Amino acid sequence: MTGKRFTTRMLTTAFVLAASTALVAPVADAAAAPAPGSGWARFGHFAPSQSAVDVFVDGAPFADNISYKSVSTYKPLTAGLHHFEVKPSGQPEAQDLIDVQTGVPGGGAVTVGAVTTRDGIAPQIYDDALTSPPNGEALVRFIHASPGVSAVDVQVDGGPLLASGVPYPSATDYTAIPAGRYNVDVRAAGTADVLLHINGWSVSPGAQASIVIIDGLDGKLDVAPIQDSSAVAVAPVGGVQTDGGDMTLLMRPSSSLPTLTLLEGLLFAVATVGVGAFVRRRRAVSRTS
Amino acid sequence: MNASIRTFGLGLSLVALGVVGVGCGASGSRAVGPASPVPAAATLAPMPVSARVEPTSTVSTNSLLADVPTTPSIPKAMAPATTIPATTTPATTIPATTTPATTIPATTTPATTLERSGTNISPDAAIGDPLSISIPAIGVSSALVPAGTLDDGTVAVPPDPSIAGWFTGGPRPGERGPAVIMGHVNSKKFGPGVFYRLREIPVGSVVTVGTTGGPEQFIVQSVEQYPKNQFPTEAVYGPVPLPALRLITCGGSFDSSIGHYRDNIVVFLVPAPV
Repeated sequence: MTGKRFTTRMLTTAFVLAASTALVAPVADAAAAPAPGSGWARFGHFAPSQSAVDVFVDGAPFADNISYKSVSTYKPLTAGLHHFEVKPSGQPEAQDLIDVQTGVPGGGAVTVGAVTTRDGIAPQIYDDALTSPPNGEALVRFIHASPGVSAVDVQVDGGPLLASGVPYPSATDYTAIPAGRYNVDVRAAGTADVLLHINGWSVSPGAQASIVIIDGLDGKLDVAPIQDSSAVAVAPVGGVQTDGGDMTLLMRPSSSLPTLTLLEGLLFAVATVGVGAFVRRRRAVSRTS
Repeated sequence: MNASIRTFGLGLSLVALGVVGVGCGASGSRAVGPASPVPAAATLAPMPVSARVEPTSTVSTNSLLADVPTTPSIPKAMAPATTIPATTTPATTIPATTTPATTIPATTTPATTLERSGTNISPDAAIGDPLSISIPAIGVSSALVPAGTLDDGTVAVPPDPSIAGWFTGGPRPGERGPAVIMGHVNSKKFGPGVFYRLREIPVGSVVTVGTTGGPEQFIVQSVEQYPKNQFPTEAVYGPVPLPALRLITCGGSFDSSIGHYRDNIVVFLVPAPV
């Protein structure tokens, strides 16, 4: 009776272990970085009304002198909540332009963006989901950051609709498109009015990119390209056969000598003598023939 | 009489060689002929020092990357807005479908579509092709040869076990994304391969990849061991938002039925602080 209960408990334990392994394993494999306790973050300056800024995370300098239409380099941060503060560049004592908490996912990435609003500038948190595009394709998304333009559609010239009804300010999800060179139209949502025509947009396989629809320095609509991540375009299958056969014996060279038994040593000695005799005899034979 | 002594001696020498372990695998067999079933499989043991290395997530990657230069990867100036497309036609040849000027809405739709060049929407500036790899911590200094994929989709490992290979299907070391360099742990013909000691590499070691554009330096973040049949494709080849490097070789126990080691050793590296 006791034994049976014990067995049941063991089975339950085994099941729980198996279940937890099953739950944990895919997560570990899906992480783009070996350190599951950290992710990446960066800052994007998409606010035409604002001059260059400095960014502080959890009170420490994070990025310096980020000018309009640019992003800072990604930096690793521990997974979890972080406090982002944005100040006018070179003025650490100035009042925060932006003061926002955002979560950084383990093995993932976020972009904290600044956009212009009626009241100044406001934060936008973009989830830069790190996922592999299909083989040979790229992942793209669109960030609408032009305050003077209402919702837009984005369509490949004579091709598929990539995004529709993208409001200001927002970002679309990533869309997979084959690598290549495209002409793209940005239109007022639901209309045929082409607000901007992008000529010769090149997309590399394995790339993950954001196209920010933004005011140009000339005040007219523009696009700013941002590279989010890059993966191997076509991931090889399986493991890597970087070996040339069994090396176990070679791996333990002289260290195995002392473990020879007396008999083995004797056999070795006899064998050596035997080979020696054989060689001498062969020499003698070849000399005589 | 003499002949029988000779045979006896040779046979014993084979046994002795097997016990002492001077020969191994096919090289032993090739040297002494088919009559020598050296019982190598029976003495198989895990490779020395190849204890599974636990993930080292405690490395402060923050400090490692704290000084990576900011990349204002956005081009400063796109094509000027004044670029009027060549397709603009004189007013006299406006197609019949164009509505008369008098009916143009007051919303001031521009007569010509605003155009921008998309040629700058592409990956970061390319780094030169990698030429060499240097890992002082484990005494590695090797040229790099390009390595692609085989027809079955697996990696085509470098043919020479003493030379490491760069996987050309991925980014170059120093470019954004996971660059991959692989090297043999061994060869039954030549002994230890270029990455024989890779499993010993300490976390924090510096790895320098020489490229046609200058050296690219990386720091070891973690050393992992995976069964080849559970290779973490996404973690090794999947998206990374910064430059990254993976070094790969073989490890673990040897599977004599297929003639390969069961595991892969994968070293994950991040760019060194500049």
